[in-house]
Amino acid sequence: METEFFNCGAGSHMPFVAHDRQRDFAPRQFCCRMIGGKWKLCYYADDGDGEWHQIRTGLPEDATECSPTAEWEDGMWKISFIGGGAESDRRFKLYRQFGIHATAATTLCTADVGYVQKNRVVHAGRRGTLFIQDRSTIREVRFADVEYLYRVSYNPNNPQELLISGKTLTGEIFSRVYRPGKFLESLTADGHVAYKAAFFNGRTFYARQTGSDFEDRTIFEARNVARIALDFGLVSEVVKPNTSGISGGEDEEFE
Amino acid sequence: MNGRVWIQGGRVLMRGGKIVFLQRCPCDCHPRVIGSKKLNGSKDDKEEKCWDLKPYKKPDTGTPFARWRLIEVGEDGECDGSHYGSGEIDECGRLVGLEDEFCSSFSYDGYMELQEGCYDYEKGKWRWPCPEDKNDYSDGN
Repeated sequence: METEFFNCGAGSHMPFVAHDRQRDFAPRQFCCRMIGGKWKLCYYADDGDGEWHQIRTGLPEDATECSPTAEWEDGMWKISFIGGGAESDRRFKLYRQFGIHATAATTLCTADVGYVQKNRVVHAGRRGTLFIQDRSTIREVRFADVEYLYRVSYNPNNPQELLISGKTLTGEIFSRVYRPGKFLESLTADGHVAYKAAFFNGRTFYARQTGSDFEDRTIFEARNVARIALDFGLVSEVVKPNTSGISGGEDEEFE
Repeated sequence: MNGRVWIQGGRVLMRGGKIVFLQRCPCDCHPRVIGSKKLNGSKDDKEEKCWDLKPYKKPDTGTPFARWRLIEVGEDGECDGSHYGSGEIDECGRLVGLEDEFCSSFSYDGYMELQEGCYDYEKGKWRWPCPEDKNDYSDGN
């Protein structure tokens, strides 16, 4: 039976699909859904009751949770996400949680965007430098035409490809594919900016605005995807030794 | 106070060789949030997108000779904050240089605060309101 992708309807955002190694690399879907007026992390139990379930993170009810990524490793789902905005503490942070059914996430660092994948930790403030931290190096990246970063994720089929959504200095919402040291591309889907996109086995999912509000979003699968090369001169990269102490782990399994 | 003379319990300050009369003693400065508002730059409604700061431009808004700054408190965990404006507070408690209005271009909710910071002469640093679980000292100007 073919997997149904993101059948969660309106009020869905931030798609991510991971390879489920315990199920022969079948897709495991994650996204954010609007629950109680806030975006909350969810996963799709297509091998269970066929429903979407909230991932309990331990963050306050009034916190926003966004940008889930996940990988099956060491016999568990290792999830990372961005959370914050609660009245008790407005700061947004990069969190990591071990297990879909765990009920508490741990803080890695303050960040508005980012993720953890194997030994790689990627994080940035909304207007700041993007830090790509591997075990031995930190790549500090700035995009000359970007005002805000709204999501940084990755392609699970090729983790060297970062998926970046944000807003340019001229006020345009963008979605881009960035490979450090190699290329920068714009990403559109069916004529729309492929906002906060996810790739999986050649398929592309994104959150299209479906209402009057910027955050009235529904996840769609793209029928036609366009990746157009941008001037790599927009990117400034500096590579330094990693002395930060922030690390995602010990593994090294890129590509 | 750093070469200045404050008459305890009084309202006279020697500054630059001149006597200045104050409503509040600068030594009473405590880091505080003067005002706050949630903004969202994606909204069409100006009330949700912009903050009218004119009410904060009046005298006696701040502690004389302290500093003010406008920051978004969700943005920076180290409490330096992104500064959308900052300046001195004059001897009348006016926030010098504060704009009439701030409008957000950030497409999501931003939690803006207008803060008062105080100089800590012992530590040689400006002190700003910060979340409790963090060191409440920042080097923000």
